[in-house]
Parts: sequence; structure tokens; C-alpha cells
Amino acid sequence: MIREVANTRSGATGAQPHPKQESLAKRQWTTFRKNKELFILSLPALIYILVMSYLPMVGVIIAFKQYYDISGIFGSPWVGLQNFAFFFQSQDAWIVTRNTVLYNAAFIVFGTVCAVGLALVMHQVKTSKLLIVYQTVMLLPYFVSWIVVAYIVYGFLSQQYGMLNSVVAFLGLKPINWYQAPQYWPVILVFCDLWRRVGFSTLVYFAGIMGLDPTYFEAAIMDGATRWQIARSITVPMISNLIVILFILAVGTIFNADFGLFYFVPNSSPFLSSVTDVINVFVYNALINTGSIGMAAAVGLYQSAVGFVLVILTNWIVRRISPEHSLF
Amino acid sequence: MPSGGISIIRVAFHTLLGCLTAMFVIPFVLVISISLSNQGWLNAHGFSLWPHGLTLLAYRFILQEPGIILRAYGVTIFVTVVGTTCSIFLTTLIGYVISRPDYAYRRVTTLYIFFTMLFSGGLVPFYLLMTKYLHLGDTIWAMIVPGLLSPFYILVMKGFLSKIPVEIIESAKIDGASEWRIFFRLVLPLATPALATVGVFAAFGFWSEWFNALLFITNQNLVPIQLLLYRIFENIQMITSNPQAASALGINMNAVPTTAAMMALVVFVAGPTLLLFPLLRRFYVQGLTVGSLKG
Amino acid sequence: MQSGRRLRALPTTTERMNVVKMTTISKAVIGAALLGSCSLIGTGIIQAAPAPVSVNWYYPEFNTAVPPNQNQVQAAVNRITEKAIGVKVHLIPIPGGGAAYPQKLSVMLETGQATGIVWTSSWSLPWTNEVAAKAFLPLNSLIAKYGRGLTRTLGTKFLKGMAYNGTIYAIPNLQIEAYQPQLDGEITASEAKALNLQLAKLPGGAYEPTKIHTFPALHAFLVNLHKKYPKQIPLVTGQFGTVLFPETYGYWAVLTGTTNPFFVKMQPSYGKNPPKITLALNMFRQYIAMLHNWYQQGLINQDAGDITATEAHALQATGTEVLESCNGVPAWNPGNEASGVPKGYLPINLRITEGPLHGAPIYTGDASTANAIAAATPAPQRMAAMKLLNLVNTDSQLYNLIAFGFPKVDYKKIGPNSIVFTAAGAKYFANDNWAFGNVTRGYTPTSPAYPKFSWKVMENINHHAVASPLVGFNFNTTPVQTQLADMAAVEAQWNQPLLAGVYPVSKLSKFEAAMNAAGQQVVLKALTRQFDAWWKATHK
Repeated sequence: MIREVANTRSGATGAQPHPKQESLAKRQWTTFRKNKELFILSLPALIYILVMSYLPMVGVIIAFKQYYDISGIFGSPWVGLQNFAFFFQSQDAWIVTRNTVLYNAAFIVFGTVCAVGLALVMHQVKTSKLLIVYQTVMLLPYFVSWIVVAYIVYGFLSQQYGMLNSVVAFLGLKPINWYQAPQYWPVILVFCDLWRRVGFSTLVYFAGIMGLDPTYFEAAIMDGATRWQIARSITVPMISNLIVILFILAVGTIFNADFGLFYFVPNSSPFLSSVTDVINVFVYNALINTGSIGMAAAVGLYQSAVGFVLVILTNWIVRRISPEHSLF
Repeated sequence: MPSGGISIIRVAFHTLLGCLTAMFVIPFVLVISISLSNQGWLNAHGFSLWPHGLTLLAYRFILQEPGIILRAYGVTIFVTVVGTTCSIFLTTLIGYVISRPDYAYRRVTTLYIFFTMLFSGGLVPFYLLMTKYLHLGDTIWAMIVPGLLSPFYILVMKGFLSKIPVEIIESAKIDGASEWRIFFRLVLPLATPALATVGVFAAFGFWSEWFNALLFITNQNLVPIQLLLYRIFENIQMITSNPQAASALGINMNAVPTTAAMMALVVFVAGPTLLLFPLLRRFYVQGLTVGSLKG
Repeated sequence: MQSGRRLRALPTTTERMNVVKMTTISKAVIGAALLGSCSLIGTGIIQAAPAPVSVNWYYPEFNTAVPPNQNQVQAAVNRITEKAIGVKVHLIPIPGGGAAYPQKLSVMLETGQATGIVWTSSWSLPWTNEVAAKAFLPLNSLIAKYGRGLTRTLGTKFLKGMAYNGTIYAIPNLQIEAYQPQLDGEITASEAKALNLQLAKLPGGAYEPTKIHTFPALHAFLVNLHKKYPKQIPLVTGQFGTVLFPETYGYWAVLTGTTNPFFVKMQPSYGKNPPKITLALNMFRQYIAMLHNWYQQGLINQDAGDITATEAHALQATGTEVLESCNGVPAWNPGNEASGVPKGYLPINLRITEGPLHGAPIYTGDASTANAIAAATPAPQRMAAMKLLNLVNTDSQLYNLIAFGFPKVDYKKIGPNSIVFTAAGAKYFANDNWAFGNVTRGYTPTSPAYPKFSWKVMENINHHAVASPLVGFNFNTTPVQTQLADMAAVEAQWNQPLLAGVYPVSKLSKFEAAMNAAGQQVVLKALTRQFDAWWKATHK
């Protein structure tokens, strides 16, 4: 049933019966007429995005300006690349960039593996009444702000009253001052991120699996395939487009760290800064005093631009391997 | 689906999911326990999974003015219902269009959408657009309009809908159905799990929104529950991070349920999930019924 | 190393801000009023304009919602202002613990959408940053035309404190502008009673925390406390560590509200030549060495370097610790011990022990709250806004109404000029009285926590305070924003452990190296150049 996909993948040029005889404009008009109905369906969203996202995008020029409230976006003076200097001249630019990328890479890998795995397991028990309990409970952390997560984590890790140190003491070991021990924090932060997000991403993959045609599974069972074989050869490949889309989207934000996770959860402890400082926390610490909105915009633009390049690159690689999985 | 009966492997799956659920639930037990505990005990002994000095003080502290809270819930419910409905509709429309392999502008439209996920103009132009040009400042639409479309949801929707077999659409086209008709009669019914997922995302997004409200809303009657809870949260933070101020206001730090109230706020925010999600969930179970349609 | 954090273009709120601003708020909360002897009603220019000009007034509301009878109060306020100056005011309180206010207003100012009067301070929506961003109007000519009354009631000393390179940008509210450098020490409410009784029995004779004015005396006190209560930690601190008050070492801080390792030595008088700005490394070394010594003796909590201020307060509230120290502008003043300090709290006042200003209260301008006028305000409203500020600062009836609401409903009069808040049923929240104007023009609010409060003491301090010779100088940070940002990032990694005594002095050289790499010397040069120019212009 995938057979007819290939012949329609003609891209923006559309199907052209007599390309030589028609002018470019006319060909485009033909393409448009052919796609008119679908275009009109997408029009409301296109207009919304134009107004809500593209119009305000003129604001990126703030990154190159010394912004004055009274002068506004267009009236403020240009300063070239001056707003970028504080980040790139800083002693920590490399460390925070490295931390940001490594953590986000870990989040993408662990997040995807856990979510897909859980979705597969849930699919196996999809008729069970307990499933709703599992799913609902796993969604709950989404509503807990990082500040509250930080309180809960402190409840476990506090030197004096922490539950974890009670356990450590019970085992006869020396209590650990967790907030001064950087070596544990990569694990703790990845765990916190998984805990807060995995419920939601599992739901996406689970819905993706539920959206598949059940006849595939029925046929496979008839053929005597095991659960593992079904998962590996049918389920995962069938939701692979979803996995790849979410992966490409995640790559785009790999330079953009979750501020709340990295600022609040480690208590902004200075002893942990080598492993918990990420770009967004660095920018916050640097600009909270005297920073201008131009400087904040500059780092934001840098993060977006790098993310954009990475996405184009990833998408290009995906297209080389499997065209139908690419995002665009 | 593989075997309906009780097998060892099913038990193993349930055990795994059960353990994970417990891992997710323990922090919430902690949250609820803290919210029900006596603040003095918490200060003296730290957190515990079992409430000590059982009290509802934290909840009473938050519900001091039930009239305001009720109204705020009303605003939030309106925003969530209207916002989610419009959001699902818009998202599905464009998500469907770019999922069609035969759509000529598929790639350029996807890029057009995706680009906005990475680049934004920041707060200043957004604020100007909303207040000066769209005139949405201090209206209920200020909380609805900005969240109507997310590139992320659109692309997730695309991921779902690209699994709808092309042949169904082709055959409908051969029968002379318009794209409009195909979308409403064929695609929408097929896409219920996708709609439900995006619906859950969107609904939770509208439900937990407070920053736009903080920026745009001044009218007391339009304050949503999350902004109200945010204010309570900030007030508690103010008290806890500065006992001098609390003392100056004549507040006994041990009597005010600071941590307890903060945790009770979590219950207020997350609690409705327990109602909302099971409601939406039946759409998942329905699953896709392409087989029946094809037949 | 203090205060005035700004949150701009970064919408997430932080505890950090709360910590900084709240110490000042506590002071503000107790700030109250003593009615002036003569009435100055009518000092504004009376206009019989048929259509009154409407002016917005933005200020933070330290509550969850707008007061229930906000509209009635506003109507009553408008009856007065329309009659007196032909101005209608639209009061716009922004609820939310003070955190929502700077978030909302900074965006409104950046987009030019805020018009009218905007409340500002050194610690929330910091006025120097807003002036640098050109968000506020210069007020000199408006004050000259419509603000003669408020010039009289406020006095030029404090009005000048709101000057940015010679131009006044805000009208101060004259609460506690001056202070005594002080280790922000307290004895917890739960412990105080027992401690008070036992303090006398401490080895080494009678100790009264209120009479401890030097670091050695404080040290001896802490050691004795630790001996008496070995299980308790005498001094608890967290995020930001303790506060270094350069005045106790005989230095004036050059900058307030920004990253500030720049100081000027105190002198009885300065000539025409500008004093030299230094990094005062010796002072810093001395302070860190002392703290680390305390830390090693177990007088400071072991996790002082990594817990937040909130957590430090929670620890303190357990009663395990005796004294608590957190960041902040010092809140209590000499003479207030008897009247202004809440029950159960015993302040430890550290006096200036070096230099010529021995024991005097000081005024540096970094504790001020004020009202400015947004730059985007149209001309007729600018005039009206200044008239309104003038009236609030001169008309006690108007000030009391806007600050405290209605008698009997919101407060009860217990003396000719003093009131208590009606705890239950009050429909107008009174914690905001210091946001509107000269608090000394209004009633004195008393509360169970401050039964003997009197504004006179504070007024006395304000008027006898020695003003820092640097008041009125403001550093234009634009040319060195890059360096200041990098310095702030370095400090975020170093300040807490250094100022909590966790790090030994030997680590200081590493910190200084990082600060220099971030551009500290560049900033020092730019600062010196601007400072010298300013000094020469103002000391002719």
C-alpha cells in the first residue's frame, strides 16, 4: 500500500506533462490550480503564522542594536556585533556550550529510547484497565514547575534532613553533601528531565502506535511472529516517521537548555557550576545585573541560528538515507 | 493483538509499568503529604512521605477568597475549551495538508512552519503586536490567540497523518469528493488518536498558561487560575525568603503553611489532569479503524 | 557585592530577586508616617480645566489580588485630585508578591506602552537601569514648575539622590533612606525568649546583641553561643552569603545596584581632586579570612556555600540555628531597637569602626523607593503626573487615603496620627503605603509586631545621616556592558562560597584572576574616567 507514494513525490514542480511548451509562470499557475484546494485548507494557519510569528521576527534586529526604550526597535542605534561579545569573550563560553549540547544529546537519546520503549510496552497491555492509571500518573510531573521539583529534590538531597542521606546513614556510610558533589549531577539532571517529560512523549508514541492499522499486527500474529519481532519489524518502523520528526525537532533546540531545570534544581550551587551551567543559565547570571535586551537577543539568535543549521544538516542526512522520513 | 489471556510476559509488563508508576507517584505522595502537614513540623524535621500534624491549613490559606478562585477557574476553563477547540481545528488542517505526499508546496510549507519554531523576535515585538496592532491587551483573547498554533504540534500531527493510506484519499478523489469533504468525512474520523494527543497537548498548554496573562491582563475579572496561583506562589516565596518581612507583617513563620501551601498549589495545578485525561483517553482506545473504512 | 538585581528580557522569576528586594520591603513595611505640622494643601497650581487629565499610576501590590475596594478608594482619590489640580488618576496595582511587577512593567516600558507614573526602586525595576535604557523622563523642569511643594517636604538631599548624572529622574518616597551598616543578624522568634534569659549567663559576662558593634565582639558572642549550645550553629547563611558593608571598613561603595567591587576610601572631606577608585582588595581579604575562620570553628553552617536563602531561612526556623544572616540592605537602624524591631528579633548593629565617620548612619541611595514618569507619557499627562506627585507629597489627607484606605473600614485611629489596621474585614491593603509618597506626611501605622513604632526615629536618622560623597554619580555602563556581564557570570560562581566563609583566603587570587580576565580592569578604567569628569563638574 506504499507503492503509489513514489510517483507523487515530485516536489514543488508538480506533475508536468509538457514542460517545454509552457512558460515558468504558467507552469506554476498550473501547479497552483492543481493544489488550490489543499492550499486553501492550509491558509488559515499560514496567515496565523505570518502574523503571529513572522511579523514579530523583525525583532531579531534588536540583537544588533543598543536598545533604548524610548527609541524602540527601529529608532535604537546599531552597534554591530557588540551584543555578542560578552558571550564569546567569556572564559566559560566553551564549558557552558559543551554542557548544553551534551545534556540535550543525553535528553534526546534517553528520552526517545524510554518513551518508545514504554509506548511499546503500553501497547502490549492496551486492553488493560490499569493502563489509564499508568498513563495518567506519568503525565502528572508535567504540571510541576521546576521550582517545585527543586524543593522535592532538596527534600531528598538536603545534607541535614534529606531522605537520601538518611538511607546513606542507615547503610553506615558517610553522609554526602550532594550540592557540593558535581560528579553525581549529570545523572540527577538527566533523571529529573526524564521524570518530567517521559509521560508526555510516551503518549505521543503510544497514540502513533494506536493510529496504525491493526491488520498489520493481525497478519504478523497469523504468521507466528513473536512480540519482539513485531515490535522490531513492524511497530517501530511504522512509527519511525514520528520518531524522526521529533528527533529533528529536538536537534533544533540542542543549543537551548531548559533554564528552570539547570538553575533551580541544582539550587544554583556554585560548587556544581562546572557541570550544571548551561548557556541559558550563564546568560541569566551575566545579564541579570546590567544586561541589555540586545545582549539577551544576541545569544538567542546565536542559539537559533546554530539550531537551524543543525536541523538543515540533519534533515539533509535523513533525506540521503530515507527520503520519506525527512521533514522537508 | 497477541494473546488475550494472562501470560508471564504480560505480568512482567504490568510489573514494569507498575514500578515506574510508583516511581512517578512517590514524589506526588510526598507533595500531598507535605501539603497536609503542619508547617512547624516540616521546619523541624524536613519532608516525610506521611503527613505529620495533619492539617488543611495550606488549602484554607489558598482558598482564602473562594469567589476570586472560582471566577479564575471559570476564565481558565473558557480559555482552555475555546483555545483547544480552535487549536485542534487549525493544527489538523495544516498538519493534514503537509502530510499529503502529493501536495506540491509540502516542503516549503513545512519549512515555513518549522522556521518559526527556532526563530522568534522576542518579547518586545510580540507585546507590541498583541497590544498596539491586534488590540488584544487586557482581553480574554490575549490568553487564547498566542497559543492557538504551535509548530511542534503541527509537525507531530503531520507525523501521525502521514500514516493514513494514500489509496483511501485517492479513491475518494476518484469518486469526485472535494478536498474539503475528504478532510471532514475521511481524515478527521480517522485521526482521532492524533486529535486526542494534540488536544491533550493544547489543552494542557492553555490550562497551565500564566505568562501571557501576567503580561496582558490587568482586569481582575479576566485573571486565570494559573496567574492567581502564580501570585500566591510568589507571595509565599516572598515570605519564605525573607522572614523579616513576614515578621514585620506580624506573621509567625511557623504558623504560615509556606512549604505546605506551595505543595497544595501543585495539587491545584495538577489535580485536574486526573479528571481531564481519562475523559480524552477513550479516543486513544478507539484507535484507527482504517480496516473497516477500507472494506 | 550587593543587591539590585534586574530581570529583563528573561521572564523567569527567581528566588534571587525575592531575597534581594524583600529585605528592603520589610523595612518599607514598617515605614510609616507622622503628620507634618503645617498643611500644604494647594501648593499645586489650581486649574479649572473642564475635562480632567487622566494619569496612570503603576505600583506593585504585595498580595494575590487587587484590594476589594480599590474602586471606591480610587473614586475618593479622584474627588480630591480633580478638585485640587484637575487630574484624574487611574491606580494600577500589579499583584503578585512583587515579582510580577518588574516583569510586567519592564516589557511595558520597553514597548513604550506604559504611560504616567511608574513606581521604581533600587531593588525592583531598578531605576538606574531604566534611566540608562531611557525609559523615564528627566524631571528637573517639571519639578521646577509643578513640584515646589514636594521639594520642600522631601528636602533636596534625598531628591538629589535620585539624580542620574545631575538630572533628577524620580521622586523618592522618603522611607528609611539612611542606615547603619549591619550584619543582618536576628535571633529567631522561637528562641529569643529563652536566649534573652540565658544571654546573661553566657560565659564571659553579659552579652547584649544590640550592643555588639565590632566584628571581634560579634565573634566572641558567637563563640560563647556555640559553647552554650553546642548542637546549634550560631550563624546560618545561604545564597549570596553574608553582606560585606564596605562602610564598616572605612570605604564608600562607588556603585550601587550593579556588580560592584569598586570603592573609595572614606575621608573627612574631599578637595577638588577626585578620590581614587580602588578594588580595596585588602578589605576583601580581611573579611574573607575572618569568615573562613568562623566557618572552620563551626560558627557557620557547613552547607552555607550551596543552599538557597529560602533554605537557610527554613533551617533557621527549625530553631537549630541561633543567628541568621542573609543578603540584604540592612533593615534596622540605631535607635530602632526599642521601637522598630519586631518581637523576637535582636539586631546586631555593626558600627563603622574605621575612618572618620565613627558610628554615624549613612545615606548611599541604595535603599530608596521612588516614583518616576514613563518616557512615553504624552505632554499634558506629564504635567498632570507631576502635579499629582506634588499633591500626594504635600496633602496628608490624600496621602492617607491612597496609602491606607478608609477609616473604620481599613484602619482604626488610636491617636491623632497613629492607626492600627483592622485585621479582619479590611478591604484595602496597607502594605503599600511606602509606594506613594513621603510617608512622613501620613499616619503612623502600628501593629502587634511593632507596638512602639515611631516614625520620628527614622526621620531623625534620615536627616542626620552622612550622605556618601558619591551620591548622584551614576556610571554609564553602556560602553562596558560586555565586561560587566562577564564579571557578573564570574561572581555567580564565587560570591556565595566566598561570602559564606567556605573558601579560604588562598582562593581569592583565583577569583581576582577570573574577574580580571572578565574585564574588571577595563571597567575600572572607564569608571575612573567618568567619575573624575563628574567630580570635576560638581566640585568646582
